[in-house]
Amino acid sequence: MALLQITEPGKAQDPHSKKIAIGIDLGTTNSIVAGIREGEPFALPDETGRYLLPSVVSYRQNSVVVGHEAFDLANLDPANTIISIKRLMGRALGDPVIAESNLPYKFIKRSETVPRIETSFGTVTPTEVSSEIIRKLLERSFETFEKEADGAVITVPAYFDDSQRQATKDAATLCGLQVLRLINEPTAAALAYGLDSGNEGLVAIYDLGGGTFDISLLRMEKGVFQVLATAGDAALGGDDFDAVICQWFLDSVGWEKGLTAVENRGLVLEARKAKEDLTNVETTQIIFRLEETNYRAKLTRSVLRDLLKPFLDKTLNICRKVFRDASADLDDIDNVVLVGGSTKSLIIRETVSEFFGKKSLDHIDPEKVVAIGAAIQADLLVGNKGDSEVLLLDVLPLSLGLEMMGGLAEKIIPRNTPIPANQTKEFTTHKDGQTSMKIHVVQGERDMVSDCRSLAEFELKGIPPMVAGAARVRVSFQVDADGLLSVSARELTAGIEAGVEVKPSYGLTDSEITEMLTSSFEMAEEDAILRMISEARLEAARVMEALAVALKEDAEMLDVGEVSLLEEGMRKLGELVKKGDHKAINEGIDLLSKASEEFAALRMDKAINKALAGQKINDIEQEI
Amino acid sequence: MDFGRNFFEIFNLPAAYSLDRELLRSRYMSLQKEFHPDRHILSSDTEKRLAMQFITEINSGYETLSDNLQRAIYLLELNGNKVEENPKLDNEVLLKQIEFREDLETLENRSESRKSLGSFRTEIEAQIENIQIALEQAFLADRFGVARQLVYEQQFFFKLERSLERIEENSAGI
Repeated sequence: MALLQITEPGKAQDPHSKKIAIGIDLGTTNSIVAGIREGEPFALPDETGRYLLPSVVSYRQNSVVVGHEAFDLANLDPANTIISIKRLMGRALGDPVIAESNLPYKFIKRSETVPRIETSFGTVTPTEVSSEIIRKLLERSFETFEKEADGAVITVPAYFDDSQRQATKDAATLCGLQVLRLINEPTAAALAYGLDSGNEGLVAIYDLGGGTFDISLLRMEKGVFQVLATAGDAALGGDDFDAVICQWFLDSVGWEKGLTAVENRGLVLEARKAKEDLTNVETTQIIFRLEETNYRAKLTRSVLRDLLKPFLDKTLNICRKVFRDASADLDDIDNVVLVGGSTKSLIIRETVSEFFGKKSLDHIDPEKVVAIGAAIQADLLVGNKGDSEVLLLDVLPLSLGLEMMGGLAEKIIPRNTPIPANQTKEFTTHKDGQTSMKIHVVQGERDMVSDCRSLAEFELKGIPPMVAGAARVRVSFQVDADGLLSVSARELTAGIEAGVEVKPSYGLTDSEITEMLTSSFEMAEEDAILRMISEARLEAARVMEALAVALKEDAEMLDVGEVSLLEEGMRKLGELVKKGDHKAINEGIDLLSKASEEFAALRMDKAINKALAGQKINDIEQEI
Repeated sequence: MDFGRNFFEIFNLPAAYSLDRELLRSRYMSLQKEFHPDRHILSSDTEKRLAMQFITEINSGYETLSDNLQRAIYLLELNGNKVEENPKLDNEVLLKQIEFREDLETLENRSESRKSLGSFRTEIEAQIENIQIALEQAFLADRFGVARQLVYEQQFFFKLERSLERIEENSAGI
């Protein structure tokens, strides 16, 4: 994986040494990549000047086609042309989104968990399909900046659960792309608007895309974007509108036979076009050929309004819920921001502004705004902006919990908790002599485990036999800044420990990813080794530079012996880097990291003390 | 990692129930600006890990202190008055709780208008408000035993409020 280079903080940077940091909005219908040039964010066009990349991947016998060309194949070869893959990300094969949809793909039944689609190119998973889209966007970035991107911020719907987030991150990893951070789409949009117009106060972000709906409430002040609450529906969007228009068409023309997958795909595309037309005109016509006959039906804006109403009402109910979660009132809102392709529709804009009683902000293209916000955040994270005040504070979208006796879900971290977050809870055995305990991690708001999303299951073994209720098992949840969870469990009387990174059963295992990486790059062995050496060297340089900066600032925290020990370690690592054996370099890195751990802890403690002491000084100033 | 400070110390606030929310918020923000993981993307792995642990503590402290009920529970525990999972309650309190439960069940089973739900909500909110005032007074007088009983009462009404919200959500079809 490519690693970031370090520059000393505060030092003016040579403009040519700025790192290439990009933002990627991986959408259900379209994807887009944005970057920064001379401090200005912009969406990157393809060679013909188009910004949107249709999120469509078509698998041919010997090649993979992505984007516009693939879109054109969607009708001709639906079984090998994957659209709206985002809807399948991180989902199990048995999930209703897959099981109950009339998708034209050939799913392989072999695995119960990860959906695998058989194409003329071979078997592919949703993660791999998404990675093809990312790879295409990376080509754009390379064309524009004439070098590889150093890192990316990738956006996900705020309401994505852990497995959907993990699957998205895996898709980027498959392209060898360094993911700086996953951020939520509405948060990214807020960042783009906040910095663009200096808006402060309480902002509602209404984000309706092709397949997902999110509503987030944020407080913006002094450069801090704090998400107060978020809610949504990970399976509600423009695709549903298309489907309901299709059904309306079939009812109108009296077609009762049902459609083949090919016909269905064709009609969906016609429906989408009609839906878009009705933003500019009052009436449009859908003409569709079925069994050698042209059927036609007139669709008016008012009919469409009725068709969309149940969906829009659902979004408004979710909006009410988010206000309740944030203990805020509709009147408190200072601004409403529209995000997502579906909000280009006139009917939806009218509905939203009526609900909020406010005209919404939309002067940044709703299709570009998320990628632009992501690019701004990426630029900040790699340090191109120097000491910026801007900070995003986000929350956990869905409660995390554990399965208890009787199939009940016990919430451990409730939704809308600020992240990073952790929580521990103690449990006990319910049978005499019980020596193991099943830990089943779930996500969702419902009381029953069967209604929640199952994230991971593992077993804590080796509990010493005791009477029921005597063992004490402490389960810890940790959610990082990407919103990803890891769980560990520990029996306190015997000290047995077990832990998992929550790699959901719907995701891919690390070895599967490694395997795909090797096969997808079709990398010769020599290339692979060269790559590993260069990665090890970069990592070594990063570690040494961080330590050198630390020693320069805080060497007086250590005694002379300790300092020379660290310096010796750096010297040795420097020699290993020259020799170029990646295994030896990695061992050297581990040694140096271990040796400097204590020093890092001391420095952190000092930083904390300084930060807390700083508060006192401010107080005195305030009192004066 | 134990940072050796309780939440009040982290935010440099007096360990009391009454709270200067503005001060808490501004300190929360300045700590975030220093220790948020986004500020440590370029740090060494150990520093990243420590910063993440500390910011997790800050988040958890902010959540605890800014919530009236959680702050009460936390403060009671600091003073050695652990809040029990299944406490013993006075008969009078229990009877009142049973009545409220029954009212809720009646509302849930009747397919009546949202108006009766609304007036029930107002009633619950009034109870919560009254207990909150009593709680503040109990802490002011250092009467921790009384405060703990009030916490138990408050927990009941919060649970009731959540059940009510669920009924409202179901009837609104969320």
